[in-house]
Amino acid sequence: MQEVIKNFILEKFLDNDSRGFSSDTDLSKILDSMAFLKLIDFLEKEFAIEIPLNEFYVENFENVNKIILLVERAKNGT
Amino acid sequence: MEHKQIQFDVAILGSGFGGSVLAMILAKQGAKVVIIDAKSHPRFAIGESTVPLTSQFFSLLSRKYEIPELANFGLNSPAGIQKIVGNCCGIKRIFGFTYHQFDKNYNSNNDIQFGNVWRDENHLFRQEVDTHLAKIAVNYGAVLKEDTPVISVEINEQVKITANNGEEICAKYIVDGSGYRSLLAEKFTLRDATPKPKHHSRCIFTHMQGVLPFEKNENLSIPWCQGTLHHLFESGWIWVIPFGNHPQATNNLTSVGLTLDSKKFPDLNLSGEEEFQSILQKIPIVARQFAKATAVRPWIKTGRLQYSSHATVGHRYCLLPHAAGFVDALFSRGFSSTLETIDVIAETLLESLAEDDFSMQRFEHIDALQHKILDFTDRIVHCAFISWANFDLWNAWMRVWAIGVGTTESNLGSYLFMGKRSKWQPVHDPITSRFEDPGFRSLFEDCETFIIDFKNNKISATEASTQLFQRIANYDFQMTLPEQVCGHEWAMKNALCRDLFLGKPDLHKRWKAKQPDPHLV
Repeated sequence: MQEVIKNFILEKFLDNDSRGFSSDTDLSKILDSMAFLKLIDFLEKEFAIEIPLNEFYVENFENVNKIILLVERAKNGT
Repeated sequence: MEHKQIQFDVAILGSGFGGSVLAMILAKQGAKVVIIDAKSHPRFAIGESTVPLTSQFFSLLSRKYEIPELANFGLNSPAGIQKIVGNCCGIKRIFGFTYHQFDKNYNSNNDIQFGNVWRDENHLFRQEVDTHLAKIAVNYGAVLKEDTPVISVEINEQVKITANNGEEICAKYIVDGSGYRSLLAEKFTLRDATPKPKHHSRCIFTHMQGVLPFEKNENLSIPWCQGTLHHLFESGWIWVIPFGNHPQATNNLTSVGLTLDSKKFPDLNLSGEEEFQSILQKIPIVARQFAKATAVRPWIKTGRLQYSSHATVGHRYCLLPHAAGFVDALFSRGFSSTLETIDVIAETLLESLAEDDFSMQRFEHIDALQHKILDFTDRIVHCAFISWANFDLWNAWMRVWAIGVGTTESNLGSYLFMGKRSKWQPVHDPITSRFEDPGFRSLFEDCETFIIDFKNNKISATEASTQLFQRIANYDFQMTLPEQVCGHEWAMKNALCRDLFLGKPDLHKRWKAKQPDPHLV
């Protein structure tokens, strides 16, 4: 899951420039709210989940590690 | 009997919607709060239709002041409301507008729907919702005193409130959320003798059973009954707000109201029921919707709806929006205006309490905000009433309003998502909201000038609507939407697109190809 998410961000938003990009990189410094909406759309389709609107806060998308936790929560319906 | 004096930080008059939301925020943040109400819950209230801005502000307050329950009324609604309040509230998928002329047949080509892709909004059954909000305030530690009419308020170096049972309540500050009959407005003679609003209307309203769905328009996305329906006619409108419009619903009532320009429709001393029927007789297609409907409570008939206050804050007190003034329920601006103001009041009061400084200057921006909100609501409603003389003019003015709310929602949505990391900056000198688009004031004011010129017989309706559409077409539309929502900007600006519902892929395809609604070509 980690690689899939990282690859999407690299390809869509970073022109495949992976320098300094890790699972801890603060995405809020790279992405704007529209980019996050694209990311949410991708996550919902890729992992067949629905992310509830009350999870739509940048803290939940701060870095790839946090996104993984969010996807797990959505999968478990918690 | 001697009563013990209790010292509170903030006393709030009125445990309705605004009073309870402010009380829970202050109590949660550690203030000692008392809410005093002359009556008790549950009780009938109108103002039922929410808009995305309402939900966004609820979620903003929930997050900012750490009150998870409020998110249920915010972006977690309608499911959140169903979970905690029950199934007494309705859903709202669209603003629906039908247009009528007394001497002509109804033309369904003049129907307009404006809605949202993301989620449904709500028709709040206020007696249950307000009761629940007061309970949340109590759960966070606010002291609620119901059935406690206040007989006097003295404000010196503190606030001393005397109730009719002899009880004395002391507080550092008092907020009046008691609406039209505001105690502080009366005590300090704050009401303008001549209300500021230019708009002039009166209202007749009740809850009904047996209201039928309005004729389906096959060309539009959503059945009327799944939204807030507005029947518009020259100098008046009827609202139809069903609560029983989803599968889980347990409440088959519908809120119904008639608002009339009191200069065009002077009060002839008919009863509410008689006056409602007299208007229905002039619009047979609408009368059919009410053929089997009966009021479940007596119709309430108001005098002039508009009132305003020359000051909304003073030494150790402030008024909530509906204690300060009111214009008209059109465009459902009440909830979002109240919540936006409550946010600013709460923020200011918490700082004042922390520093024990209640000097007037700290609160002046609240007064400015309330005047601004009332003025904008007045202007947008006033021009809407004028525009109903001609469908093209209404079609254009409706888009000025829709562009304003749409872009504000988009900005607030981005701010809600990004929080402190948002690049959003409050717009300098907004006309309606800190979150509006930078260009909105000039679009609004330019278009308003043409509507007023039309009213003053300086230009024809056609000239005015042509001017409006030119300005709308040139508006720098900054609203950001996901890639899959194509052509929304075009749809909002195009006179031949009546289905502004954001959510059907076939619509988006048509919008992207810049094709008007097929039934209008």
